[in-house]
Amino acid sequence: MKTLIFIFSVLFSFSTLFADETSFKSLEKNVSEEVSKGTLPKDKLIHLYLLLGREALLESDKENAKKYYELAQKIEVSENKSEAYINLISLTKGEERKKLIADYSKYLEKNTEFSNKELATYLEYLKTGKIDEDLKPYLGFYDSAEKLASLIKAKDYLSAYALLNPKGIERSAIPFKITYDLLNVLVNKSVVKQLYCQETLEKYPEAYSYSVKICKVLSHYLKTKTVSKNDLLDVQKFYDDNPEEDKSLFIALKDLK
Amino acid sequence: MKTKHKLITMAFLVIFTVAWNQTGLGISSAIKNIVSLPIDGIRSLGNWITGDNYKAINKKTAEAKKKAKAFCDLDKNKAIGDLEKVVCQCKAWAQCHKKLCSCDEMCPETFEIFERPKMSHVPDGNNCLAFENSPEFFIKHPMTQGYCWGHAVVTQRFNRLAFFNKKKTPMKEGKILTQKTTPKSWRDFYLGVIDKIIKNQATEIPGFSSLNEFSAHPTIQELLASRVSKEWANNAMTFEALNVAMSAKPMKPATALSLAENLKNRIDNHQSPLIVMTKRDARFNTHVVLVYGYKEEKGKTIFCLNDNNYRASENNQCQHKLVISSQGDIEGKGKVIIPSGEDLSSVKQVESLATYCRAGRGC
Repeated sequence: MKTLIFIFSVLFSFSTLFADETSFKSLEKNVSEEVSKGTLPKDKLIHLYLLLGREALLESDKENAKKYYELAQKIEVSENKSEAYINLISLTKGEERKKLIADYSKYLEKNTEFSNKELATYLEYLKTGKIDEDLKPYLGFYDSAEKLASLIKAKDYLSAYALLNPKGIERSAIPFKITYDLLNVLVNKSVVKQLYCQETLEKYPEAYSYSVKICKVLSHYLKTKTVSKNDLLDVQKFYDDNPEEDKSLFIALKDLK
Repeated sequence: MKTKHKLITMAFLVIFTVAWNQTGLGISSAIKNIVSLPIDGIRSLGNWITGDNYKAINKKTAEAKKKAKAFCDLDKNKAIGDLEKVVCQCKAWAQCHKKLCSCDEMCPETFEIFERPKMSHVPDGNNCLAFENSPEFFIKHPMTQGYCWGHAVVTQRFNRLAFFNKKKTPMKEGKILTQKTTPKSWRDFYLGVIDKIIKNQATEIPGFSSLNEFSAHPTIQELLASRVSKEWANNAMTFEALNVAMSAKPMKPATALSLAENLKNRIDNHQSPLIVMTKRDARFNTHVVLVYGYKEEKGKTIFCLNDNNYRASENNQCQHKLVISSQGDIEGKGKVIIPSGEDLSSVKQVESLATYCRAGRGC
């Protein structure tokens, strides 16, 4: 009897483990069972794949989201595949993304009932990088951020600086402030009177932060018209210790003379 | 086989089978139901598993609310020990002895767990990030919406899941971490903390007293700003988001009224829901904000918005509103939605908060 009670209690503990099996895995298993029966019509099958893709995306499970959206995309059926295409585009990069954008354009050309002016505007931006006036409120910031990054990498600091709005800096996060300050000093040199990062530098002078370390270099430069080698090395060390961080600001900083 | 051994084996098989099917049964029948629907019915399904889970918790919350919350008896408290509070109500986050209030009462797996002590949904400065969304950072696109979605997600997650404790210090493997002596480890520690919160896990944050103080520190601010842009990217270019951005015409009255009821339900259940909204007749003029309160006034419901383009003092008197009339018109707006991710996040957060609560009460 004692053995039985012990086993029951152990197994009820295990039953809790089984109940914690993720909903997505259970959903996937059940859809797979339906699919394997071979009786599901394609117009319903695509929606099950879209459901799986959607649930995976919500779980930030990009691998499974991609898998099921790709399965949905490949089914030859008259149902609207826009969800699959648009979400796949958002999940991919580089050449794979370019191909998807091209494929989606062709899909909408063939299936005009699923197309509209707004989608055309969005796709045009994805294909050409040219942003329509209507699209600016939505993607204008992202578009400008991409352009800014390209210009900084290309060392076109004047054009990068020209993108920025000094009125929009004050209440922004420190990475925005330091980007503005750095470009301002690179372009205008010691004529610059004010650094937006100065207040943060004074409050947190020893902060382990690339923004504060770069600000230290800029502040010293404005006072002495020279770049402190020690401060520059300190910035370098930060990026050496944190290789996952984008180095483009540091690379630009090294051009300050 | 002896009878005793047969019984044990059978019990094992029964329990194993039942346990294995415990999760699968509901989903299995739901899949069968979906497959049997006509195609129009299937087309209209939104997010589904997560939607059902949210509804289940909502139902459980409503039932729990009907039960009166007992007060602890003073004499019983004294009998138990000096550490107990003199007066204690058996509700979420109560610090009562388990003999007086059950773990389910103190750490419910319902939306009551979102009602954290001394936490306000009204923007008060402390519960806000120390930087706004930066819509006007770029001169060529002065009227963009910045990374509003990311800002709203990060703010909401921290307010629900972060437990600030200024008296504690960050530690790793028994060692104290400081900016001065172990700067990279200190930074990495907080990077890990931020990651947990964004992944819907209740987490203690040592060394800081509030979200505002935490996010004011430049090391942390860099990490959070990066997270804001990532969360924007994860959400803003999805099919669901674009669908809203492209929909600038008024919604059907029934849909708008349903949204109003949904928002009120969430606010009444201690949530500050995130909404995505497009300006009427201005497609792609889309913004994402948090909703922290509502009031009923002369045939309309006025929802108070925490708009990340503004400071707390510019939000805390309902200066920014979403107004839905009793006829189902949303003033000045086209499509407005509570995105699907809200349901899934809320479900995960309830589970995480209840677990965190129980760990602190020996449940």
